Amino acid sequence: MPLYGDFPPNVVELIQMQLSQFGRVGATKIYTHLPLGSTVAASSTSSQVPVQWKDQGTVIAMYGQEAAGTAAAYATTDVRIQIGGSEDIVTNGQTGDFVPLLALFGFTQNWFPLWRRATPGTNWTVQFRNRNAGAAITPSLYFAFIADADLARSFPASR
Amino acid sequence: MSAHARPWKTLDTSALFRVPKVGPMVYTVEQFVGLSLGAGVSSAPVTFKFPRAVFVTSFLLVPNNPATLGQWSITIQDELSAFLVTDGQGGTQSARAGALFGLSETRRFPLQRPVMNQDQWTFTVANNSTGTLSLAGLFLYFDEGIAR
Repeated sequence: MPLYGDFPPNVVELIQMQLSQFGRVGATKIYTHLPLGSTVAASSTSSQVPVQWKDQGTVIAMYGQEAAGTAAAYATTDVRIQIGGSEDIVTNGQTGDFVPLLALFGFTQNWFPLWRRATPGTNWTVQFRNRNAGAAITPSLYFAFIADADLARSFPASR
Repeated sequence: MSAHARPWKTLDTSALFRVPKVGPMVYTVEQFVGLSLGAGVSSAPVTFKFPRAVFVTSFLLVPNNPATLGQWSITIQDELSAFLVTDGQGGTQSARAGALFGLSETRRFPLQRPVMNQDQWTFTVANNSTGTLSLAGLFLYFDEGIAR
C-alpha cells in the first residue's frame, strides 16, 4: 500500500507545503455538474447528472447553493453524490443517502472540505431532492479542484 | 526542524522567494465598482489586465447589499480562454456567487493561479433576481513573492 493511498506524493507534499508556508491552499479550477436542464419540482427528486472530469487531480472542497439563497432553501434542498457509480460520499451505512445543503455548508460556512482524487472517465454523479412541498428549486454544486497538471505552474521554484 | 534551525549552508533560498513579500494585496476590477444591473441582466464582458506577474490567491464579488450575494452569478475566463468554472464539457461556465462566497458571511474563494505580466482575465456577472441590484465591486487578492 503506498504511503498516501491513491494520492501522488507530490500532491500531498504540495498541499502540506502550502498550508505550512501560507496557511491556506486554493483551487486551480472549479468543476460543476452538467446542467440540470430544469428546476426540481416541489417534493420531487432530480435525475442523476454527471460531473465529468477532464483533468486528473484532487478535489479539495465542495460548495453549493439553492438559487433563493435562504437558510430555509438550504434546509430543504438535499444532495446525493456518488463516485464512479458505486461509492457514495453520503451514506446511511447501508446505501447512499441525501443530505441537506444546510448540513454540508451551513448558512455561515459556505464550504465543505473534501479530499478525493478525480480521474477522467470516472464520473461522479449529483442528484438533488426537493423536500419543499410548495416550491421548485434550482440547486447547483461546485468542486474546488487542483489539477495535477497545474501543480508545476503553481510552484515552479520547488521542482 | 525549522528553516531557522538548519545550518545556513543547507538553507533552501528558493523557499525565501516563495514567502509573500508584501502580500496579500488586492486588485479591484474597476468596471464592476458601483455597477447596477436590472433583473435577469448580465453585464458586458470586462477584461482585467494584470500589470505584473503575481500569484492570485483568492477572489470575491461584493454586492452593495451583502444579503443579495446569492442572487448573483459570475464567469471567469483566464488568459488561455479557459473558464475557471467548468463542467468538463464547456457547457456550464458560470457559478452562483452565494455558493462560492457564502450567503451570510462573505468569504474569499481560495485560488492558486499564477499570472504573467499583461495576462488577461475576462469576467461577466449576472443578476438572477427579479429586481435591480448593484455591486460594490469584484476583487482579486494576490501575493507578489510567489509569482512564477
